[in-house]
This record gives sequence, structure tokens and C-alpha cells, in this order.
Amino acid sequence: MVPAGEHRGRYNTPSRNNPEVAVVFDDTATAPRDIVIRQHDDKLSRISEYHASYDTLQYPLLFPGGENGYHFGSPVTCMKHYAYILMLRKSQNPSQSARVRFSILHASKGLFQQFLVDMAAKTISERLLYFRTHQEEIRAEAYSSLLDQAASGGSLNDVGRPVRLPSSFFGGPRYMYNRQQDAFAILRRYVDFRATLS
Amino acid sequence: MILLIGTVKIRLVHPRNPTQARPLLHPPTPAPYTTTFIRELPTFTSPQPSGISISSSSSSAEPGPSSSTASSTGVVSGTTTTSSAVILTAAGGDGGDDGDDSDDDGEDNSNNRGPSSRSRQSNSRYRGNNRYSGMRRTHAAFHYDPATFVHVTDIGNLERHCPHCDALAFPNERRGICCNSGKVFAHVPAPPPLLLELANGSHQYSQHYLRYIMQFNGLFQFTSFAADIQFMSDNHGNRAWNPNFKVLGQVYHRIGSLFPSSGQLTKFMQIYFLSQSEQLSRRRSIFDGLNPELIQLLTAMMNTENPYVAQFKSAVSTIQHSSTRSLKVRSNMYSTA
Repeated sequence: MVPAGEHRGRYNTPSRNNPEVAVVFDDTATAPRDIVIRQHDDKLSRISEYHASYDTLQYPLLFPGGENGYHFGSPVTCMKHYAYILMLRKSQNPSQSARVRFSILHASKGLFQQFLVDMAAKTISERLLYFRTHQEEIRAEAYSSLLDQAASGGSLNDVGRPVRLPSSFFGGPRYMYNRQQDAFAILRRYVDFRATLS
Repeated sequence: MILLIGTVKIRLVHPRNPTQARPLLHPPTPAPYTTTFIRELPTFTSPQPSGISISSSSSSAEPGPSSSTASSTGVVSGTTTTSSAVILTAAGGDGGDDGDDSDDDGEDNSNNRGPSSRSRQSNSRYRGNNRYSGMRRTHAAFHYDPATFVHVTDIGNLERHCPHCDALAFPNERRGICCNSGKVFAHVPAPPPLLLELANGSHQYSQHYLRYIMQFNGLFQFTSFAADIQFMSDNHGNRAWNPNFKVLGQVYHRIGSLFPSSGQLTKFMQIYFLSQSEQLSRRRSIFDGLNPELIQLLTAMMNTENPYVAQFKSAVSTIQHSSTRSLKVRSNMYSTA
């Protein structure tokens, strides 16, 4: 059943049962860096995404040897680390007929997809954490928070300590604004009439 | 503007009845829309016959060299979506070879555009639709036929490889995404032989394993997944059916205590501290229908291969004989940089 007032197609069954994560909003709370296990406890403690054991403890069949995942202190970013892991590589054995080195990760079907989604969420939250802690470097003070709040139609009483996302953050408001400006610039050159739907 | 979009739509996905088009032996009776359709066909100019001849040759299964590239360039360049769809169906009609009323060839049809040839062309169109209409309407991608499918974008082969990390790439793929010119390195050790065989299909339980791999991973994972999952609710405030898995805030993994509190079942990491037979029966009880032999093999593999199992077990033995109440997990010392 589709709720009243909603578009009929919105609740269509996905054509494939693929996992998908939409990170709506980033929580400011971060877990402690260490994994601490107590002897008897009803509570579950949360382990940090940036602990190197995060991946192998959740996906023991993908990383059976206890390989380290991305962690704080690693010299590369989270995205670079997983981009490296996800590449198909040339077979080391030249006599082998297959040119591509067999990767247990890529052969793992649904578990691989689940892993991808999990790591994508981790990558995004790592970037958001960076922006939250490096507001000076992305020159957030150049944007007056009052002006932005007024422009977005929000109440001026709600102005707190917002986190500004730079325009390079995919899907952020500044990113979307830039893309829209680009689209209109292109349209102005090539198209006589245009209709916008919103 | 709206009117234009409407006509394009009608051209492309006009509902056609395949049962009407079935009797090929009868003289063709064009459907009422066909005449108007034909009138709006783009005229076939000089490069067009290549597209038609190529598609007919490929349907008669001649191994023509460079046929795919010629057809893709000949058809796609300079024609719109509508016209290439027309060529696709015309090719299907020409390749049909139904004998008695088959047209000479597509080139002839396109050159003289008298009323008689128009009706014949509509006939060939009609037969093409008879054969391909169903597949074009639904699941076209699942009935991919390289002989007739002309919208092929050739992205090349996976032939370029990074000099630093051996990563394979397509010719026009952006450079540096694999290892950032050698700056990134992560140690990926060879998997245990059991997992390798299971993943590459050479083990007897490979099919079963790969089908239920997420369940098998669920049997052996140390931590559990948690997130503030957002559910849409219906008008009564009950949880409705949710097409997407939507998360508010962060996705995180949680780890429990070393031992279950009294009366609770062992879960996740706690299972590893049971005896071998207890582990097996506990793991079997989690999901139905998983192969117990494979569970046994994987349990043995995890107990020998995984460093965390040994680490946790030794921690358990020391924690039981001391007053320590908690332990910290250090990451495994593989280098990541």
C-alpha cells in the first residue's frame, strides 16, 4: 500500500535486492578509539570505524587472516585505501591463462556488496568528520552562517554551530548549487527554451 | 515542447499486438499508425546501407571482420534514437528469411520511396516488430543479441595496467585511482586454501557457500551491525514497507562482552570460546539450511587461521585467572603503508 499523498512509483520494489545505504545526517558522536571488551556485560560497546580491526571482525570470511582495514594514523585517506583494495590486478603468474588475479573479495557476491556499502558509509563519515574538524581550512568563516540560514529559509533563532560542507563534497548543498549554476550556463548557450520542474 | 515529447514517446513505445502481426503469409495490412510512422522516417542517406548490410550479414552468422565497429559507427553517428531503432527493426525483418514474401534487401527499400515500396517496407518493419517487440518492451537487456543490438559503446578491454601496483584498467580510465602513483599500499595476503577453493568454484560446496555467503559470514562475525535505521511508517504509525535501507547518523559495529550474561545465548564472538562441538551445534542453530559439514570446515579454518580467535582465547584464559575485568584489542600488525 502506498501512503496517501505519495507518488505511486516511489515504493516500487527495487529491481535487484541490492544493499544500499543513504547517509542522511552525520551524528557528531564518535566512538572511543580502542575496542574494550568487558567480561560480563549486557551492554554492547560500539567499536570505532577507524579501528584497523573493524573490517575483519565484521567480515571474517572476506579477511580471514585478520588483515587491517583503514585506521587512523594510516597515511592515506579512507577512500584511497579502499580504492586500492577494490582494484582488479594483473595475474602474477604469467603462465596462468587468466590475466586477472583472482580476488576473494570480488568473488564473494552478496557479502562483497554488503562490504562495499558499509565501507562507502565509512568513507563518507570519515570525510564529514574531516570537514567538521577542519572548518578553518575550508574557509567556512567566509560564509556567514546568518546569511546562509536566512537564505535557506530557516529561522534565525536556530543558528547554532553548523558544519559547512565545501562545494567539493558530493551531494552537499554547495555542490548542488554549483552544478545547477553550471547546468544553466550550458543551457544558455545551447538551448533556446527551457522548462524546469521542481 | 510537451507535444514534441508526446510524439517521440508514441514512436518509440507504441503498443503493438504481436498476434496481429503473426500471419506472415498474408499480404501485409499495415496498422493505422504505420503510414504516419513511415512518413516520418528519416531518409536513408549514403552511409545508411552499411548499417543494414552489416546487420543482415551478422544475422546470417557470417564472421565478418570489424562488423560490430562498422555497424556502430554507421548507425549511431548522426542519427537520433528513433532512426536507429528503426534500423534495428528493419535489420530484423531482413534477416528473417521467411521465403515467399521477403524483400530484396534494405537498400532497395530505402532508395525508391514509391507507395508500393512503402508498403513493403512497412511489412518488413512489421515483421521486425513481431520478433523483437516483446523483448523491447520488457527486459531488453536480458535478451541482448549482438547481431541486432546497435547501441554498443566500446570501452575497450581491461588491458592497461598500473606500473606501480599492477592494477588493471580500461584504456580511458582515469589514472591514479588505483594506488595514487604508488603512494598507497595495503598488504593483501593470500587467502586460506579452503576459502580460495570455495570462492573460485573448485570446492564441492562452492555453490552453496556463494549462495549463502552472507549467512555464513553471519555465523562467524565477531561484531554485530548497528545503525539508527529510519523506517517509514504508515498512517497508523506502524512500520510500513521500506524500499530503501536508510540510516540516520553513523553505521557502526558493536561488540559484546566476552561471556554472555546468565540465561543468554552465546552470540557472535562469544561462540568462539565454546568447545569445538558446542561451537558447531550453536552455529548450526543460527540459520536453517546451511550445510553442517561446511560449517565444520569453516569453524576449523577460523580457529587455525584467524589471529583474533587466538588473541581472544588467550585473553579469556588470562582474564579468568586474574582480577582484570576488561581487555583492549590491538589491531593485527600487518603494515598498511
